[in-house]
Amino acid sequence: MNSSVNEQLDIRKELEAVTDLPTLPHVIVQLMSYLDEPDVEFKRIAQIIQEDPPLVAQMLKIVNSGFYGLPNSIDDLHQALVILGLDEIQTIVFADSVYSIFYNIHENDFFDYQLFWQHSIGTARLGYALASLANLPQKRTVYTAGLLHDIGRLVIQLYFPEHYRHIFAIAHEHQLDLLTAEVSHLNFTHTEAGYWIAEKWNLPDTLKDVILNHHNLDEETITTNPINTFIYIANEFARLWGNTLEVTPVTISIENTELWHHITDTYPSLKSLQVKDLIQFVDLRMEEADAFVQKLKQTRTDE
Amino acid sequence: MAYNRQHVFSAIMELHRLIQKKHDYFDAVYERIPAILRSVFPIDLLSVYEFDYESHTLLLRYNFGSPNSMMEIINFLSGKGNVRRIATLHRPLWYSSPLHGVKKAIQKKEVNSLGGVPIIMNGFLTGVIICGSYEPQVFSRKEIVLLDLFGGLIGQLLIKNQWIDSKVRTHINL
Repeated sequence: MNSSVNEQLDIRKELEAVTDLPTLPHVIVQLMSYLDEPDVEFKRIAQIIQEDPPLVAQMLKIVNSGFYGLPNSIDDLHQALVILGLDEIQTIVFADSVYSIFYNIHENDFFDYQLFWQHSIGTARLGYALASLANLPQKRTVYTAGLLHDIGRLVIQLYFPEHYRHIFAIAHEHQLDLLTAEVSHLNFTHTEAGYWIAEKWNLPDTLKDVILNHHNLDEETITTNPINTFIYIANEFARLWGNTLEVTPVTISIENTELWHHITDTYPSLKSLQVKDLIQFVDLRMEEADAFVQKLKQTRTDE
Repeated sequence: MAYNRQHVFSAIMELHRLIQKKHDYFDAVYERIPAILRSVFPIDLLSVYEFDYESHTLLLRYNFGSPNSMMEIINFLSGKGNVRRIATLHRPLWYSSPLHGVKKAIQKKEVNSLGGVPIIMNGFLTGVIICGSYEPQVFSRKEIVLLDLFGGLIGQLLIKNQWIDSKVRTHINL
């Protein structure tokens, strides 16, 4: 099942040798740093987005789509942004920009691009909602981290599609989760691939940390790294909900683990969510994420 | 071997008889399903979902057992989680926890084995069957092939139920 050590090292080397690395659009870098500020104004967001005309067109197209059912068409970006709201603006900007970066990735029988976005957006929305409930000041960063936490999967899929195909096959054959299959085949995971591109893009340390550690959480880091804690929880719930690329069943309920008790002890407001409330809470965010991906897909199909 | 080989044939026959037998009311066709499947697999939870093409959702048609944890509720009552993935992938999913810690696992009444198959009729997704057991090592590829066979028969029962439903509706309308 394991690939040879030489092959594993080569994959890491090959990634390091990539010279045609996609660059992160300037608008994203600017928006990311601005959205971290405590007081955010739509006027300033509009100024940032206006630097990218195709993105402006995309925003207007989405706000004028049937989904919002507006009686009159909107042609003013500021007005469009107010209607969309911060969550949707952030999602569209990231989805659109990252989509264009990784445009070489085509749909195939194992990597479901739509499901990938449903997972990322679902994790972002749920992480944000849970962070809001816990009164976490960095909730907007949680949202960004949710959108980007699995970026490494796109990197592997872009540069090593055949290896990823093999990883999915191994996972299916041996009933492994994808992370274990990645280790088994590549000795290298999507978290490391994500960290690699995050470093190249000079993303803030908080985001790099989440990209690298969103599958690891222990008692100590619950307090020291709240952003990773909320992404960890949201990621687990999204997987449990079926918003995942995994080819084996997800059978662990985080609410039954010791870790969850530690999390709720650290963020007591989460204790207010009993199992049934928690189910509704997660369901709502996952439904929103699915609807949003459908909306994005629809606007792209119309193009 | 996690399934009861002796009861496989009689289970197939009984499902076949259910397809042929006359039923007058909606849902009556499902009543024997858990007993039939439990004669073959040691299952504690079972759900049969039907795919509704109008709403594009999985409707719970039959449920046996009491789901407790979030994972169980999502999979055995909500039609989300692994059920949704089986429907999306049109592919079976199965999981069995390792044998160690068996006693603890059974006492705790947590799902330690899970198996689900899509019900495909004439190339179209008709529904999903999902089974859970507190015992580990219940489902492997072999058991899933067998569950898939039962899925085909249960799919015919779903179609039969749709037919009964439309007949009842027609009768009411007349």
